[in-house]
Amino acid sequence: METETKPSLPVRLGRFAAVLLQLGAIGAVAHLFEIEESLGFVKLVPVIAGGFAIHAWLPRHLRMGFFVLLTAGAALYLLGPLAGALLVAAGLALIGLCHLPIPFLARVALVLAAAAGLAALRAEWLETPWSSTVLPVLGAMFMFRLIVYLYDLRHEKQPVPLFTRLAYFFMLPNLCFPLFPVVDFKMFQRTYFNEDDYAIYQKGLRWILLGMVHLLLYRAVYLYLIPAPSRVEDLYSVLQLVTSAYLQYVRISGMFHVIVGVLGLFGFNLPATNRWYFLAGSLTDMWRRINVYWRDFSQKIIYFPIFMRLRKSGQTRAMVVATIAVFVGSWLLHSYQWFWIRGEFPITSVDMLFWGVITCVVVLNSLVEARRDPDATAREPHPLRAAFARAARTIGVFGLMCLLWSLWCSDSPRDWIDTLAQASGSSPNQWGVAAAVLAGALLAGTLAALAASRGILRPPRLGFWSGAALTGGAAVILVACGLAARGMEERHPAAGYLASLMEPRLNERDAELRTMGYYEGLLAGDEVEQDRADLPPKRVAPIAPPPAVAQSTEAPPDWLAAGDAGLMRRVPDYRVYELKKSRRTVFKRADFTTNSWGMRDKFYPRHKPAKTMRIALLGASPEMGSGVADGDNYESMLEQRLNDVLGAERGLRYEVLNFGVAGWGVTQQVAKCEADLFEFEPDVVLFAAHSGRDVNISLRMFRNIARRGIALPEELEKIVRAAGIHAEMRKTQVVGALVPHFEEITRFGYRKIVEHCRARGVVPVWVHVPLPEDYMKNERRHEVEETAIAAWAEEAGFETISLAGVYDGVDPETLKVAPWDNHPNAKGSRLIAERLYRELAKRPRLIGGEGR
Amino acid sequence: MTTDIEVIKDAVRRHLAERLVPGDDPSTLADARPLISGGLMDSITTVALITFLEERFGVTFEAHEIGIDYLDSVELIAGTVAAKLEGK
Repeated sequence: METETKPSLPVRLGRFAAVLLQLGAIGAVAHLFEIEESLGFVKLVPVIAGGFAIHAWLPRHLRMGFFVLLTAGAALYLLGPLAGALLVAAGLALIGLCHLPIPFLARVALVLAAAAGLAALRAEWLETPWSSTVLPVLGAMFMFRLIVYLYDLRHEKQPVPLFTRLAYFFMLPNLCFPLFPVVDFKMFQRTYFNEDDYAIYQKGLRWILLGMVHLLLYRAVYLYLIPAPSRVEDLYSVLQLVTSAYLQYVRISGMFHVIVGVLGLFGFNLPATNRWYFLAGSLTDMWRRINVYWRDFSQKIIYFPIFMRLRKSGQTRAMVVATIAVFVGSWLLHSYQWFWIRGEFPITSVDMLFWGVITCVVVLNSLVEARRDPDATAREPHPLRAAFARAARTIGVFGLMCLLWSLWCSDSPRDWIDTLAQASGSSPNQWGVAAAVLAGALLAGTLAALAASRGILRPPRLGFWSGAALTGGAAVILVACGLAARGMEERHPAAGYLASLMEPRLNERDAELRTMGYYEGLLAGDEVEQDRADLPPKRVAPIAPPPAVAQSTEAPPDWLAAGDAGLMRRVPDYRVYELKKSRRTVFKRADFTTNSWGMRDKFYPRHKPAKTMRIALLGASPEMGSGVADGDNYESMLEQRLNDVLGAERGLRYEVLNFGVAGWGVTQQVAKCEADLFEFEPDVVLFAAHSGRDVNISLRMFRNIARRGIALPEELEKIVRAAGIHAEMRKTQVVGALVPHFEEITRFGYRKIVEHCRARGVVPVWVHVPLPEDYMKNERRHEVEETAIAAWAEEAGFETISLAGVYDGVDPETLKVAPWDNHPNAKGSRLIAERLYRELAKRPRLIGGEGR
Repeated sequence: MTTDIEVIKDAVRRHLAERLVPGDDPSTLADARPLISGGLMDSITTVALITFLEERFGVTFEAHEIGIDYLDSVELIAGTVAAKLEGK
């Protein structure tokens, strides 16, 4: 819609400059806080700003075409020339199929056939080098919009310009946001420049900034509210877990705000995607507020067609059937969306339960609302009573959504129930505090509802300049706070918290889960030894991860845990499992070979040759060399270094035997000592410890021990009995029950290893080997644990070595085997080997020198 | 069969005001106020509106007509109904 009176050139220039300045400030926020950097948003910001600067001055009839070309150009820039060109070509082909001069149903059949072919590629039934890069983005652009497009095409009455059709699919922000609001084709057309240009741009800027604030809030929730599984043990932590599950939706809401805001800068004046969803007063109300575009899509494609077809058999019946269809459709379409973005089609019991409960409640709610007498609604209750009812409903819906969302986020309904049950043993004090907080929330909610009913909380309507001042000012304040926080984070706790939001990092929960993974306690579950050892490896797809995934902390599907990769076999003692012997395979995209003794090492004879100094390295996945090729783990490099420098000098041959096995904790190292370690006649046993996080690894193994009825040494058996461990417990319950006994268990392990060594004249050495990124660096508790564990080792009789600071001055990201995997890569291993060599060289008696 | 567009608008405004802004004067619903894209109407109120229009004016709606092209404002709704009446 062309505006009637165009502002004068100076006015337009002034507004243009104001928009550009705000974009600059918003870009600085994105850059400083690394907003969705892993998805490529920070790289897209200059493209958006540059594109806007040209687009805003183009004649109206050229703007849509420019937007399409800008998206195509950005695709080439972000995905690379080949992948970008393939994306554009595949998209054009899909749109072309919709317009072939054949009957409509034949066109639909052709589109379905093309989609089936693409799905086969996405599922990796057919393999191409580009499918994992192009298909997630292509899927994100076409998976829902093509459905809407075909629906509207069938009923189209007015001709739609070609570039409008293309722009509907090739939306610039889609290149970095795979989760995208399902924009309606008609809405897309009708809202295009339907207001004053600069009013639309200003709204877009406000939404981008608001979206970024949502994303920062999400980061705060992620870092500080989500508890680690092993800490969910009472009412407080259960409430924290349940609430944080729902609050995480702010990330989706944030991304959608940014997306729609960016589109606003190109004239698409789309409505809000989410509207104060935490304040919904019923589940039906929630459906109206949260992800509004999804509601509109499902109404258009599912609800109204079904309702209109069935209504002759009764409106109520039609409404119920259509509502059920919408929610079943939503469930399946969420899995369908997951498939295009991640390549898997999950059908899980928690999904079924989540959508089932929502469906039942919304159907009931709809029936009540449909039968409500409008006259009754018009009768005004007492304002205070109405405000109280509103607050109670809002809190009730929020609580229900928290519960449902936590169910949706859990591994299984059983896991969810077990987690909630952790609250049952809480003290009356905790229940009392929780009740007081609820009462306080009710009171605050009532007052807020009362104020809202009197129009006190209504946001003011802003003109262009006041809006620009607010948005620009807020962006500048965010940048200033961020910069100031970086300089003061050591001195002021508040600055420390703000600085911690400035870059994405793992929270305690994921660090704990990842740590389990690093040690191949294995994200796939500690059932690895129980259920997966001795099984053939899972199929590994030799694919490169798409850029969005490669940059993120999410591991790609072929990044398997050691158990899933078929590296382990069960053993009947409390080692639980060990590496398979004489294996030659690829693990985490690196060559992985074990010798005939089951060590990730070259072959060594059982008996030590003459003039040889042997070091037996006991450890877990970092020692085994998880994610690095044969010879690139620090054990191999240390051996090489010892022989190169000291071998000739001392007339000795050094052999470092790698007994590191992914997932092993201290008790398994003891079991290894008892099994066969000393048959290899080591001179030194070098025990590698990593951090206090070993706690989860070493403790969760007891679940498998209990399940398989493996005999333990008496002392350990007593601890397990005292902790009440039994076969049916969940892994987090096992860890939770054993945490108080961690010191006992570790001290037992250290003492036994030292005893075994001394009995054979072997020198026991304990070495702390840091991992490249210390996810828990801000946790004081962690430092205490680390110091304490070193003290336990010393008290047990180990000679201790610390490699603290081994990575000083090096970016941790350059030392990890992958952004999502914190094991040291070849570079990190080299630093460890060099430092360990120097530490050993300082202690000649450990390496066959004087004093031995 | 024709009906004055203002009569249709008035009827639509009264019907919607009862459901969307109960207690308010129907005239607060401006002709151009976005009903669907503005988040005022949902599936239940839309179904009720369709039923009302079909019963009051004797017209019928198809599923694809339930959307912003036809029902996003009092003005559009009245135009849609008037067009249907003229086509009868």
